[in-house]
Amino acid sequence: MKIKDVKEIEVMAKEGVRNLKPAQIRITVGSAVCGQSKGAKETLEALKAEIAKVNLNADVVAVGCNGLCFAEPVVEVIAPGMPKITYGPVTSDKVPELVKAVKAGNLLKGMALCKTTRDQFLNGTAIEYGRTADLIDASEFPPLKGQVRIVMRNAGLIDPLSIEEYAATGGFAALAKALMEKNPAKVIKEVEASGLRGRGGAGFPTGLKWKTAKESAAPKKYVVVNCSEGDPEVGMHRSLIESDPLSVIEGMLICGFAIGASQGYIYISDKLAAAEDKLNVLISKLSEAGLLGERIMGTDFSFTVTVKRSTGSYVSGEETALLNALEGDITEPRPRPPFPAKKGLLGMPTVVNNVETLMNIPAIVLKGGSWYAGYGVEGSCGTKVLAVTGDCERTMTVEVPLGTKIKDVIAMAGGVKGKKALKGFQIGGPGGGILSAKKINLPLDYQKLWKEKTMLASGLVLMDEDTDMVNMARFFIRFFEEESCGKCVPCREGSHRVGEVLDQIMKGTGTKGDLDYLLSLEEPINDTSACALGKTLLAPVSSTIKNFPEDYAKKIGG
Amino acid sequence: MSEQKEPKFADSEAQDLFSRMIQAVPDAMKNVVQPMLIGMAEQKAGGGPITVDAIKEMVEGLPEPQKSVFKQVVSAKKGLDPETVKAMIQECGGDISELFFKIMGRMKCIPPEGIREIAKQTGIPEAHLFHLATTGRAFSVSLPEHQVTVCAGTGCAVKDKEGSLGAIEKLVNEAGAEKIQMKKVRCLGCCDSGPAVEIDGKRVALSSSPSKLETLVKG
Repeated sequence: MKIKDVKEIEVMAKEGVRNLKPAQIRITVGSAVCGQSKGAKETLEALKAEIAKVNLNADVVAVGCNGLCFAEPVVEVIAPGMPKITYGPVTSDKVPELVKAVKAGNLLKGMALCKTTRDQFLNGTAIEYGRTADLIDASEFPPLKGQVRIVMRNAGLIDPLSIEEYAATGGFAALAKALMEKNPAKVIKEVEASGLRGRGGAGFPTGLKWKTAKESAAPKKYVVVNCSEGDPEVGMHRSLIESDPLSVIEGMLICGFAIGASQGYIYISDKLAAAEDKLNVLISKLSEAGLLGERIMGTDFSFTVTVKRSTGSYVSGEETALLNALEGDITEPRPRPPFPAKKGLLGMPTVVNNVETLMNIPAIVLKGGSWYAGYGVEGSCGTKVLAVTGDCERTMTVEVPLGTKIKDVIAMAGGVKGKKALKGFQIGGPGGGILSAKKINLPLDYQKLWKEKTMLASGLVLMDEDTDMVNMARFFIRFFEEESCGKCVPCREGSHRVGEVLDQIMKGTGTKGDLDYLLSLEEPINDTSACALGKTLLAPVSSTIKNFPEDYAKKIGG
Repeated sequence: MSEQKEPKFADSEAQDLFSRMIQAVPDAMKNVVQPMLIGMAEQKAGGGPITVDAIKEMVEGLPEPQKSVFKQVVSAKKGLDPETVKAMIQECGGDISELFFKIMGRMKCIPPEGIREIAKQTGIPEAHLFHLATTGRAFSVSLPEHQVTVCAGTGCAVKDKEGSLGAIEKLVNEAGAEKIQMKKVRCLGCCDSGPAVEIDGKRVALSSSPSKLETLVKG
């Protein structure tokens, strides 16, 4: 069936709502890679078997990751008359006990984490569940309290492969709105009004990028999704695209419509095979439904999406290196300017956006730029997804309004593991350096973090009091040694030389002069490297020398 | 992520041959055919690890047309002959990274002689192709007996207080690149239980991985 107008999307959405709150029972299992590494697949199979055994009328659905990694495999149960109950960890051996409780209409106290009584979606639809259960509400549950889910609106809720369930939560409504209004300039205006910045780290205003691409006259334009996460953080983008790939595709379509592109590429890391498979399945489903390909929804707008596998190095996430790779060339950055929005893929105007950025777009277009700008603070609007890892009590993914203090995010993750003291943390990826624990009052704010010489990237890594910061600096420099593409000498050779000096210091043969020498390298390496990888190479060293001088002093003996 | 019981192969040659045979099977039938072939090969091997000879013997016992299809695979030269390269280039429409992924899927590495052949046929300089093949983390130009994949993401580095990842790296370096190669990836997607280690594609607990590697290296 080819979708031709908004009404047909509404029909699809109704069907999806019936899936999300069926007359019988719906049991979901968090089955993204993070869940699978903890046995989600076994749990899913055990659930199916047990349900058949006890003759229970229930749908068992594999969903994505709702961010509660510490509680994987996470299972949610929606049963008539009961609130939605989140359980975790539910390993396969605990399944019989859980099914028994579900069948009896009971709450299984020991494993239950929290309850949800209502899910409200972007399109205004709300699903009411039962109200009473002797359990903490999700909005008060410490890991979730204070979160605002815009990007992760569907994560862990819908079957990532179901376009009906996606439509039920407001999916395609934004695309339909944009296509029916036939006003690309208005879409760009809304994105500009939202204050959305690119979520990759550099924080470039998305609306401005789109506008530049729109205004550059060219016979062809492209939209490229950067999902080549080489950050040594956590698979934040993996979790997002695996849980809700359709939001990314809808974001791409809207971007294509706004800038006048008819072709899009999703450049995805080779380690994300599960997500790649899902994307390919969805692309053919959407093409069948008339939501991709020629004359989408019966309008003049046509758009095709191709998934391309990245060769998997850190630099392939740099936008110009990524374009080279897409063209089949060596994955090395190009000089900028010209910026891709003017001259990108095959010399044509190209918008390169990352996964998180694009997932915001349907929400912005549907609810308006000023609604989005209502979250966050001036200059940093909306929400940010962060993977919290390292020495934290609860490894998890959170989405909070910008402006939230770092210490509040740390609190969501249950603080430092084993009640130890926090020594430092990293929030800007390897090139963002390591900040001292004294800085936990900083808000998630682009400008304020830039002032501290760091950025807002995809993860927050906590380091406890036992962490040796010289060792961490060495780890990051080794990372740069291994990931430098070799194009610029200061980065390729500089990383090795810096590593050698650090090795001397770690062996106890370093001197105070070595530290001055290392600090003096920061400016020249920054000035003479083509991309951010080289430019920020020395950040882990200079930040640790400045923020943790005692660790270096111990090694060079005063 | 444990799948069905993994078959035991006597050596990488047997494993390679078997995976090339499976590649000859149409996608839709792989799920059915693979376990069947494994079962038959295991029988021929008499319960021990599957050898090249056991696979050949099994193929002889198959009915037609499967027998001749698989016989072709068995008698095909290991490596990339010019015709195969030509066909693969055509299939990929000249997209070199796609071609490399295809070769990796088939041979688990991109052998240097294959790269030279691609250079000859496409006119792309050898240096360029070697550059592509050696800088992409997804590619490898040699096939070691064993492969260990470790997560070297920041979260895992912070968690690895005992320096186990360093110990693994040391073991691997001592054993030599032909015996074992170590691949660093930046996130295997299981941060909560990290640092993650995979030996020959299977998740291994970090604590037991050095001893397991030692047996592999010495054995």
